[in-house]
Amino acid sequence: VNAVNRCRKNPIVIMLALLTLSVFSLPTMARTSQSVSEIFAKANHAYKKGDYQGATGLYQQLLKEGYESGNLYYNLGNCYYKLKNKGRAILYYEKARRLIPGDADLKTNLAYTAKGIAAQSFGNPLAYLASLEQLLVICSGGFFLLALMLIISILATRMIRDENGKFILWWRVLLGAVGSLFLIGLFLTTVTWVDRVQPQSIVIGSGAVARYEPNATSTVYYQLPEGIRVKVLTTQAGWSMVQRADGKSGWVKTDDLERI
Amino acid sequence: MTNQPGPRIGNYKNGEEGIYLKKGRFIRIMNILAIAGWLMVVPATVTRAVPSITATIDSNRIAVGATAELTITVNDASHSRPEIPDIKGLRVENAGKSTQVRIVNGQFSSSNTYTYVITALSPGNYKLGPFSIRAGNKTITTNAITLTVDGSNAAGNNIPAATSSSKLGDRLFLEVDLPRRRIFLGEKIPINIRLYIRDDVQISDVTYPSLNQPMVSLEQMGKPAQSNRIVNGISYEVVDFATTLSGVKTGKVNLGPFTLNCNMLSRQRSGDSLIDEFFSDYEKEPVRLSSNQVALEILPLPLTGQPADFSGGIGHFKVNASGGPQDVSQGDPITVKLTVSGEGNLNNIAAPQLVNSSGFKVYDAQRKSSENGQTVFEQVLIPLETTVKQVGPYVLTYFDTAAGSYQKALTGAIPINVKPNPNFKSDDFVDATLPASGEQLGKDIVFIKPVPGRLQLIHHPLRRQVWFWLLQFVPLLGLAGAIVFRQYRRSLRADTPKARALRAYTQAFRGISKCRNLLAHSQAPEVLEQLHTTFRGYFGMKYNLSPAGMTGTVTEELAGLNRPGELLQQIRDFFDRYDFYRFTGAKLGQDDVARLIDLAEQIIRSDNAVPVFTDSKTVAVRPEGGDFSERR
Repeated sequence: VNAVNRCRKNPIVIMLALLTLSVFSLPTMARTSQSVSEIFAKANHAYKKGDYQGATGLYQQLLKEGYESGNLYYNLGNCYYKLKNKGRAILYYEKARRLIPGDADLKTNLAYTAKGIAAQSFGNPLAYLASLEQLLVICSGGFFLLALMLIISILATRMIRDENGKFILWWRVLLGAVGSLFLIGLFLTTVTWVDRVQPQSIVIGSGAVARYEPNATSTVYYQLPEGIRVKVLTTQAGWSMVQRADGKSGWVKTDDLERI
Repeated sequence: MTNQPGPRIGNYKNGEEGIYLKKGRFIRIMNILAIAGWLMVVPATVTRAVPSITATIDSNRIAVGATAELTITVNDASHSRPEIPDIKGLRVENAGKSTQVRIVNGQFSSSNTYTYVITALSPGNYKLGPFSIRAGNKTITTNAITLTVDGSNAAGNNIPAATSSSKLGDRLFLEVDLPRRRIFLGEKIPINIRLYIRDDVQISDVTYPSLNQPMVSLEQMGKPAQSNRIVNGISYEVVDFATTLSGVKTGKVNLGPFTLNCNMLSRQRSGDSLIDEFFSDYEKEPVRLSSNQVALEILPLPLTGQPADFSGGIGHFKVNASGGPQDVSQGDPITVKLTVSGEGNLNNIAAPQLVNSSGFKVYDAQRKSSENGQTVFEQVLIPLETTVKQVGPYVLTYFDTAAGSYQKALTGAIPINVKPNPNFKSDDFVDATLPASGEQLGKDIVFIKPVPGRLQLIHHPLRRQVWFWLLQFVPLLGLAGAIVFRQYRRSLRADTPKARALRAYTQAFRGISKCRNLLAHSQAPEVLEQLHTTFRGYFGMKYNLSPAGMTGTVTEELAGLNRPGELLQQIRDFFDRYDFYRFTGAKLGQDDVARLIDLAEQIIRSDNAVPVFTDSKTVAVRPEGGDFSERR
């Protein structure tokens, strides 16, 4: 009880406790990170030797352990491309695009692999300027900065006001700039979020077709080339109603799809 | 009720408005009444026959892929529908039901006939039945039937529609008509699926034919055409579903069966046309029709001899080029419109190629439209030299399915006149990123990433972290706090007594804290003076009194400000003790000063805790860095 009371009275004690905790937890994090890097390096080595199956297994192991990164998805996409599994290659490139949308190598590989597949794009291209996580951090940081400036505007009046009590010019400019950046960040975050919550899938099965009804005997509406991106509208009993980029909807076996 | 003029039967009137009935309708109603009366009387006199059930088949020997018609007739029994179990090697489909009712010389008899189409899937000897039904409290059973299926009909042969549909097919069958049995990958050919409906058959709720065949692709069927035909002397109404088929994978495939669902309307008949007219009703029996199969071979396009500029077109095409302006200056754009028409995969075809592009800056051709049996491209060219006299010809290389070889379709050249332009610099149109002439660049994916990059936990993204969203409230709380603090500060500015009280309290505690520090290092009298100054300063500042010469008499003034009597007594006590040490020369110890400091602190706290009523205002004070005093 005395120790707790001492902590309450002295914030330095709390800071020291947190610091100690962080120092003790560092080796664990470092070990995890090291282990992940080792597996990643092993997978890369297998890829370089041409053992694409082995490399795929190692990359997938990292995913199963709960890790993801743009580079991991990118390398996995490369593996599937080498294994001539075009659908999964595009699937993992698309997953990578959500984390590293600006990566030039990724753009090249995705464009090259998806060559010949018509009308891949959905939604707003603004949704691929940055990853959602990055946008959230930027947006949150902007929000904090803007709030801080507003607090200063409210409290520290002498520093930023002239004799007439008006805000001085550079402060107004700064406040406007930060406010605008925050609003732009908020807009981009919203656009990206809306894009991410839409259930979009990649056709991974070859010879997939969209039918008029969710059964194997109904009329084929159109063919779905492997790797094409579709929007999933609804799912029932092993069938998914999907929509192509041109708006045409049909029923596809759910096994032929994998969500991005 | 109607006002339509017509033969007037009787003198029926209904108020001001007459009731007119047509003669035919009147007679019909009279008939109904007569029949109804007759039916009420007759059942007492008619006798029913004994229930029976029989099963027959139209052919006991069929080939694989062929069908036979199984008929189960139930006489004179109220019964359930016969259930035909699944038979391995055979496919059984329900083809409808018909009912007959007869009354001959007072003898009433009825029969229901159930028809099933049996398709042979594999050779062997099969025993059909006996089949049982429940008739009232009894179970009656059919005879058993043997069916022999010969394996002579090899898969892939075209099974004649008439055979595949059996006797049901004579009345209602589906037939596939494919003009060719060998097509090239991607080639489009017309296909017709025809539904034959004999004149005495009525159907409803017809669905589009469907095909479960991943090796081919069918385009969406349009509205079917209807016509009448005579086949083997029988008149049919034919519903023709026309569409286009293309192969998506190479290999041999048995195309079909196409399946189509509909409802067959069967009228329950009594044998009396009059009764049928009024009492018989249509019964819907769901029917699933299967077409014949057609062997189809999908051939790959020949790789040998495939031109490098192959457009991907499969079929037969023509190409036409037009464009302008034809009279231009150097650097002026010329737009060429390229129209590809013909039969084949126009939607997937690439643009025709310019045979000679020397002297031009050539931009990629753009697909503008693809409809009405033609695809239109547009290409922009910029003449770089005045020596060029024509644009084109353009060539389209395609695979001619009729000829079985690659063909070229050529356009004519478009004559142009290029005038010199002194301001034109051809160097502006040289693309530095293009490889050197003749250089062939390889194409492949970019190599893997050497490092994992920024790893994150898949199931714990930032957007799902509660702490992240709670953190967003911090700026809001900060803003709210700042606004509250500003308001508080403003209120202090507007309320002088309150601000004065706050300052007095803060300074008094600073003074008392200073006294405690001095007590350890200085002489007691000096500390006493310091404490006295602090004490007087507090009351002087807070109550706007002169601190100089303040004595215990100050309590008289404070009494008027609603100070409690106990507090006033403590104040008097403080001044008395101060005066005692100050003027009597009594020895002052450290403990005495410490007690006086405690007393002073207690007085100030007590005074601050009790609000001062001045002009109906309540002054509440919160010290800086000290304990919160009671507030109202």
